[in-house]
Amino acid sequence: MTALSSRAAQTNMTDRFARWVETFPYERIPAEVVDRTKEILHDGLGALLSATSPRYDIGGVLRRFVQETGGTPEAQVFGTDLRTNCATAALVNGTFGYYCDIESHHAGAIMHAIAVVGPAALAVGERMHRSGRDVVAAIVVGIDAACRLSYALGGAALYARGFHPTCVAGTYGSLAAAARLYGLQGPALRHAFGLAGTETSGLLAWVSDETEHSRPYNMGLASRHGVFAAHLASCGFGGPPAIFDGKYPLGHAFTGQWDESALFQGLGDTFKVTEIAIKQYACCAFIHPGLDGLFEIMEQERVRAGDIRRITLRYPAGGYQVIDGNALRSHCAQYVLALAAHKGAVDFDDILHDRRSDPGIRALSERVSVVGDKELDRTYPDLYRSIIEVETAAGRYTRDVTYPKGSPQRPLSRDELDHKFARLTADLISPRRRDEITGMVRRLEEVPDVTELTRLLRRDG
Amino acid sequence: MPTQDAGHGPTAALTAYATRFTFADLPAAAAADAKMVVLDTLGALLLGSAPQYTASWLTGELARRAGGTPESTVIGRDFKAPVESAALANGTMGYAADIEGASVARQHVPAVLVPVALAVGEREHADGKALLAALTVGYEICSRAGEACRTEYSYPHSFHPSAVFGYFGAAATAAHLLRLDQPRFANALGIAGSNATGLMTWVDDPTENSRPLVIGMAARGGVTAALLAQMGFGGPPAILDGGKYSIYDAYAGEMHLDRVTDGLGEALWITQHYGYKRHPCCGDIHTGIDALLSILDDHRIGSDDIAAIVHRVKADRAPVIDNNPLKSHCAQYIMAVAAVRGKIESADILEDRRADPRIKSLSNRVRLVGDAAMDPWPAHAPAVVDVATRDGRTLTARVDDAKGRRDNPMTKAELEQKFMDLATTRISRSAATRLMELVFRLDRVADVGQIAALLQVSGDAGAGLRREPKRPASPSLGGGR
Repeated sequence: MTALSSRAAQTNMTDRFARWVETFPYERIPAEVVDRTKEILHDGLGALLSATSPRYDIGGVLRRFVQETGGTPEAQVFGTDLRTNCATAALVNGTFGYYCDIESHHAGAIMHAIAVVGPAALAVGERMHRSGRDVVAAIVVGIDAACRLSYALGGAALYARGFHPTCVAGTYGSLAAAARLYGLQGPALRHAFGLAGTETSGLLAWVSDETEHSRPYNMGLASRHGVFAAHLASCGFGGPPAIFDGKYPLGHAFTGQWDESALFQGLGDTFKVTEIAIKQYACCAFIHPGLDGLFEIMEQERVRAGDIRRITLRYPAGGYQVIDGNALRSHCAQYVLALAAHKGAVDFDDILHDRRSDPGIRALSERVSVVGDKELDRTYPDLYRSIIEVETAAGRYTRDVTYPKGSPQRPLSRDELDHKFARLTADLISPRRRDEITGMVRRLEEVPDVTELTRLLRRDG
Repeated sequence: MPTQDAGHGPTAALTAYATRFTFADLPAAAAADAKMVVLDTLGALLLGSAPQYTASWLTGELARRAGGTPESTVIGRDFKAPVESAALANGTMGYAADIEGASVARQHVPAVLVPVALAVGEREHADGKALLAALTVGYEICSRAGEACRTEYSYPHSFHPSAVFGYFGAAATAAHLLRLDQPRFANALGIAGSNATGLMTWVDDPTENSRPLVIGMAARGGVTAALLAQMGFGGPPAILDGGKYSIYDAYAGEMHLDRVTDGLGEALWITQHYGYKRHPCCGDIHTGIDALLSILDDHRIGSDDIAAIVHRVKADRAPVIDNNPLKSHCAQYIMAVAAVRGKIESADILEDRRADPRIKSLSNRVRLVGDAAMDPWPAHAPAVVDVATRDGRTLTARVDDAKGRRDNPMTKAELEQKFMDLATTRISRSAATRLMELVFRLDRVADVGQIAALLQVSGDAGAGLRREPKRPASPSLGGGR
């Protein structure tokens, strides 16, 4: 980590990074990275649409917000029949994108990249009638920008100050995607970088908000900040031209540190989108390996929830306290494992509403213990290796899981991804619309105008 | 819709006070202060609405292109926009010309709050009493949030207090006009806090666009937060209480929770402001200008007689105004222009007067000194100016309080003149006079829309600064000599 004071002699990082954003060509993206990007987008759209379900109050609130303020109909508000200007569409779609806490994330960068970058790329892509190929490239570049900024600022340092990395750094993901699709170049792009820094924000104060509205709002803000900064610069608005370098650089404000190498190491050769993990469960990622083990035992050993006497989760000693009896249901292994055993899934609805009203879930949750295991610390926090033991009248079953399903090392199959998407959108769109969306995303790089996709994301029926 | 309890901490106390506050709680003298704040800011807004202030003009264009419900006037233009867009454009205008006064707690409070009060008031058809009460409440909340963080600690963190704490003030003013109940009022502050920001990076931006933009962003951020809260959107319910992830760690590294509620209901913050600005440039240079002009006047010398100028300020005030690439914040530029032209006009900031070789040359002979010996002086931004003359004399003047500051106030007549000078750059004398009359009887105005109507300027007048016969294209603001 370079100290801020020693950076004065360095060349202009803003310009160097901006040049990559404006020039990196689609052709340099390997085919498998394109495929992975489309999977991540598809998965993110499932999560986003699910937030618009009438089960949740947030959809109605944000629909009313869009209806009252209105806006030039440039971009679709997904899951609704409303269209508005790009910035407002990005705000609302970005908020939807993280609401159910089931979209993918980049663990090292602590970055819910697709929730921010996807809505920005689709809103500006729609407005500008860009091709699917342009949108895919914008998402690849945007996810890289978001993750790299988070590493440069230091995700842990952001947390220590109370800033939300996905919002503060995610703004640059939205900006990079939006800037490419607006066609921003030269000084205007540098100004947009400066304006994005001027706008970006995002406190972690939402942890005290039981409505769970202000948590995803940060993603919406990040998505809007980037789109707005790009739009403003495209109109000729000036901004600090070297936000990573100047008298008051970005790093100084948010963390007091800055790792330049994080911006440039492997830029254009490796892609952050390939390091993203897809979530199967709407809860803290720490619990995911244990959940995989639980479901494997229940399936392979033919164990039913009612058979379980006791569950013991061994977790790295360095982190087990986070998930041991946490008051936040999403971070409470006792709650999540008991819920999962009974319902066979962990949906956001079950996080939002306490299912311990079900006596079976309540009783089982009281028979789950979490044990800190120093042996597992050897690979922590890079890996969340967990050992889960399920005890029934018939015996004890154990599974040792290092990589959760959905991680890059253990990817979900296409069928599993489709199943997740179908489950998330079941009460919102018809099977036919679902297949149309899936098909369109799968051949997105061949689609001449991305409005063909965004049109499918409006409310069905 | 889930309703959260703000608890029993300072946020709860402050929002309970704010939601109960009405115009009746405003003493007559405070109401008169509040009206003058509105009048002075309206002058600044009108001047700042000119196309030459590109930040204002472009955020106005953005409001036009973004479209939406035409509910709030974009000042100096011929259209209305959604309240959010109007807040962004008008807030940006508020600080564009850097001539608005009535700052307090190291924040350009009225630049954020007056546009918010007007935009939301117009949308809600609020009366003048409601506007004055909401403005007062906004002053309380952004001042108290800033004081609790110790705004002087925000600058070293690169955060601009006027913007960061402006989000809270804007949310409060908007929430008050929307008549939110206490839980929703508290949510509005929480949502605004999630979004609060505004970096000092604008000092690296010579276009001066991002400088006022941060004020517009605060205005918009607060309005959005209040609207969302009204519709049932949740937020951190006790944002000013500290807690695990607090604004104090984020923006300043300081926390003085007692200041959130200290003396609540006693002296109102709107009555404590620093006074008004006579020159359209950074307030910390005003004492230098006044000292310099008094030397030239007292000794009857002209700029050609000056060999060099030494401009001493407190050590902590120097970095921002020393050779800043922004002309408005550059002591060397401002002092040279003042010496040669005898005053600072808005056009001196919009155009580079260093095209005049006398100004260019003199600006190279102005030295700014941050003098730690002055730091203990009680005045906010005193200046000691030494003029070395070509005939070998050194002439010195000290000014502790610039003309216009509360300890050296402008008279009511001077403030009215300043308003007329600024307003008539964009609207007719008769409209400006009507506007002034309306503001002075604001507590009897039935609909804020009456004021907004006078702030619209039809298309052709938008082509440039309005030129009244025999009036300067840009005002001298009572400082001409």
